[in-house]
Amino acid sequence: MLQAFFIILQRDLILAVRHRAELMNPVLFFVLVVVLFPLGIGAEATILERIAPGIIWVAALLAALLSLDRIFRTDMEDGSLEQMLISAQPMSLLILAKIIAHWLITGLPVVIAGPLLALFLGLSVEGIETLFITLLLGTPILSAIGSVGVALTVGLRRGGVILSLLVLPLYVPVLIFASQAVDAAAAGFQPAAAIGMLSALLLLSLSLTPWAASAALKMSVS
Amino acid sequence: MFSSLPAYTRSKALSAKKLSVEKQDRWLFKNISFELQPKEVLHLEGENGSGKTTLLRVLCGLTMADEGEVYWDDVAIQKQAYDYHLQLSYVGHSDGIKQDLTVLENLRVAMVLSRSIYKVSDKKILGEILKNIGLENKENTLAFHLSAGQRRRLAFARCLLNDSALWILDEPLTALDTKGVAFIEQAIQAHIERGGLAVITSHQSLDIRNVRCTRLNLSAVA
Repeated sequence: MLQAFFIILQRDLILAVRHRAELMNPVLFFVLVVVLFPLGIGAEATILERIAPGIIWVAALLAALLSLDRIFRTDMEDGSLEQMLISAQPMSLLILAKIIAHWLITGLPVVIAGPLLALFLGLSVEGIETLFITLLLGTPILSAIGSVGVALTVGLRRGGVILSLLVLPLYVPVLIFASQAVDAAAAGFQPAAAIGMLSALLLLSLSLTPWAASAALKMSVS
Repeated sequence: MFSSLPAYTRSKALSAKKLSVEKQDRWLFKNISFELQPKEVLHLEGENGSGKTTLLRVLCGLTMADEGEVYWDDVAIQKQAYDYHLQLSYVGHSDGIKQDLTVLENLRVAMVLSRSIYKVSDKKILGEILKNIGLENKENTLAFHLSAGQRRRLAFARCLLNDSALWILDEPLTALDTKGVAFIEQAIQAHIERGGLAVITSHQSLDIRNVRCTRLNLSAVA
């Protein structure tokens, strides 16, 4: 069973590396959006520092949304998904591997780039530390929730719009708790409560979404 | 090359009772029943669009029938998904092959998914399987660079990875050359002699000798 988990993880990572352009797309989008904001608003340090957490988190959210479809779409098109569904391995475990692979490909670069960009926007050191923690806890939630959305829409020929409508409302709590935590830390307060909520959301989504996505995929494929 | 393989130990009867599938407000097929014992072949016939692929997908458990049930050893397949999938090899309409993985990588993923009787690291067996399907010296070629026929052979290799007693093959002979066709016929023949079952759709006639082959014409049923 563990072997199945690792071979799917490895498979998705190899595929991502062989598609380098697609691999760069979400993180490039993320960086560009954040960089464009100071150009549009003006380089006033107090304003930028105030809105930095919001900008970075909204950009991270949209970058994740941009890359979600890839979790299952190509596998659906070439028939690999069918083979996974009728394999002698638990589907939810394979999906968990795919969620983690998706996070490593699209989430991890954002976790690394986010704090650097925050530095350019003039966020305080406490704020940057907390931003890093929230990104680390929050971006896997985006991949996990997204997997359910994609599983539900992958059977449709044009599921893009529905996917956004379906997934964005579920992303809102992550956005609220994460930016609240960073704001609190930047203002000199303890961000522990919001970070605790994010951790809870992470555990909840990682433990429940693989099952939900598995059930949704069975529907989408039939 | 197949003569040395032992008989299947878990070969059971496959039966369908009154399967009906509705698509776009009309019955694609209605009240399909059959019983297939070990050492038997079911050859599905019918015009394009008569529901052959859909029926195969129902037999795999990928699509739910609107009415009726599929039984493996007199137990509904939905109630024993894991045991059933362990006994099943399915070569579908789409190959289920990742174009950006090499032949060997594709094979390894398939081995783990099907809980192959062979070890993923067993180079000798992998070499033998590749030689059987006519892809020796291609193990490190990306599947993208294979021809349609070669990809079909690679898809068929999934049947040889495991001691699965039931083969469900959707047009296995498409795009194959005469040598490829002869190989697949031999493989099916050996599979049946070992006590296996096969459900096949094919517009070409299969040359399999001394085997009880039931024909089912879906156009006639509709």
